[in-house]
Amino acid sequence: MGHSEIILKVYRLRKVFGGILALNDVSFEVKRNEITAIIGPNGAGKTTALNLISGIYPATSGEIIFEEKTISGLKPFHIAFQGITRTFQNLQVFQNMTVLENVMVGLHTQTRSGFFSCLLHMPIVAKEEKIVKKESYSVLQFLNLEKKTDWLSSSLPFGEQKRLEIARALAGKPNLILLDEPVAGLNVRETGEMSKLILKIREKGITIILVEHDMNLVMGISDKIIVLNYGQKISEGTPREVQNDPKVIQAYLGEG
Amino acid sequence: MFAFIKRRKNLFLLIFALAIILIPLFVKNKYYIIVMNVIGLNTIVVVGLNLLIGFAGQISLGHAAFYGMGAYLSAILTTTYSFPPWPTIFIAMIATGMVAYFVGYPSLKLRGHYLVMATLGFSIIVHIFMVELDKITGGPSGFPGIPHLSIGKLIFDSDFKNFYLIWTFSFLSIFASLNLVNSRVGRALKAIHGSEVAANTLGIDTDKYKTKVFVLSAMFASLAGSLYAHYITFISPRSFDFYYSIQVVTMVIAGGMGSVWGSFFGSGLLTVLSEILHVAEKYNIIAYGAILTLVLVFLPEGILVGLYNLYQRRKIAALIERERDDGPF
Repeated sequence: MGHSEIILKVYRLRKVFGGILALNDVSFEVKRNEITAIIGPNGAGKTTALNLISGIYPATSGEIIFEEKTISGLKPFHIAFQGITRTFQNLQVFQNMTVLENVMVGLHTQTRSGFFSCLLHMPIVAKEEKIVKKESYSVLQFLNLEKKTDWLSSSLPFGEQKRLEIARALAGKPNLILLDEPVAGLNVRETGEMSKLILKIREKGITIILVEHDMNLVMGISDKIIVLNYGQKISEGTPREVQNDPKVIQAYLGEG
Repeated sequence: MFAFIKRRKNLFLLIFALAIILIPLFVKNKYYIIVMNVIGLNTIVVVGLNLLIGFAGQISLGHAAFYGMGAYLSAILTTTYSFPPWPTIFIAMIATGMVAYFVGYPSLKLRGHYLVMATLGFSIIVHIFMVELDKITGGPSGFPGIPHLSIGKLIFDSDFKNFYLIWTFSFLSIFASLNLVNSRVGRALKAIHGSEVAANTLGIDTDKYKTKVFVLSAMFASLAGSLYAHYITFISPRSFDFYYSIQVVTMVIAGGMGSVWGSFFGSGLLTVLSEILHVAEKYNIIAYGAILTLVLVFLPEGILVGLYNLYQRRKIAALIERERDDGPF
């Protein structure tokens, strides 16, 4: 694995939905083991950027390079195997499964057993199952969900469902995790916990891209901020640099 | 041994196996044995179909065709071309699986319930082939003279012998399904049912998994069809019409989508019901429609799982009640 400083490079990324230009030739770089935030007013193209990086939508043009490999054009499940996982703005927890099972699905990329060996419960299945359970428990412990392993995930309170989604994404041992509005809908206390959690995830050596509207959180924990407006990158830099950029102030507050 | 039994899955399987061994020793009425054999065959089809409906969230209205393909392939190859029966069952399963792949692959790539339409159309085509290719299939009057299965000198030529044969395969299909459900693949299928987008971003090739589980469920149906052909020794297109597809889907839903044991229960319940309603065959389809509707409205988890959940809720309610009584007031 190449250990260059830059883990992800996005080059002239463009996405057109029908006639609408959602992302207009946006380029940026993400440094290894940093927290990079993508911010911007509603409809700026933040979530679209995450959807393109995780492969949910194909890009209209441009290139995404992860760990020196081009990943644009790959399907989401291929990208997961490359080491990128994500959470969703509108929760996508598997409601029909328990907390533990949700996290176990997160370990899909770490295991190999297929239809045939599972049907016959071959020795490899039992071996993998043991590892999967152990790993899942430790991830749940990391997120303080270990007391609720057997709960049906739909019966968890909202804040815990958000944490569960992060647990599931972490279980796949990603190098890069994409968090789409991790504190939307959380109260002040939960938001504080979430910001600590995000820093703890970085301590594990994982790179984080964050899309978020909560400016206190973004300014508090980000190493770098990318500002989008109407699908274009209008600013980029440290929280301090971005805060003082007149173009950013204009985008958020309008012309005075 | 105790650790083995402690796991509830294994305990149920053990009871189930014992029941299979003991039932023919006590039930001497041939008619009951025949009904149970039909239940056993249906169980194989329904367990397989439930993997598709209950775990991957896809519906097939073409399982009668896969059941029929197993039966006709076994019948034609062993009778007309003198193939050995056991390997032929396997050949029929592979062939049916391949056909299912070609039906399933394109329609499962599309979002929405295209598989329902594709399988519906497919089963009608297969039925037309059964009726019209009368030189090969015997046409509407059926295909007689199919040999019984045998192992060495043991020929499965009676209802009692076939009971053991059929239920061995039912047991194996339940066993294999339970294995699958509680595994990496089973969880992936459940995840697809829960959120296809999320499953995809976690590394699950959703199109491939849906196609594979569809193929697998078609192969289960094919196996049951072959066993049926060798058991009855006569088959006709009537047994594999659209009505059978509806029947097995109803069994899956009545038993409980996503419950392997529910599938066994569903096929038992509805097979017996069809037998009871045999006197009024015209009203059979109405009864099925009514059951389907009632279950979906009142017990959407299925009869077995739904009743179990009701019981659990009662128990919890009683517990809370008792705590209140014991309280300081």
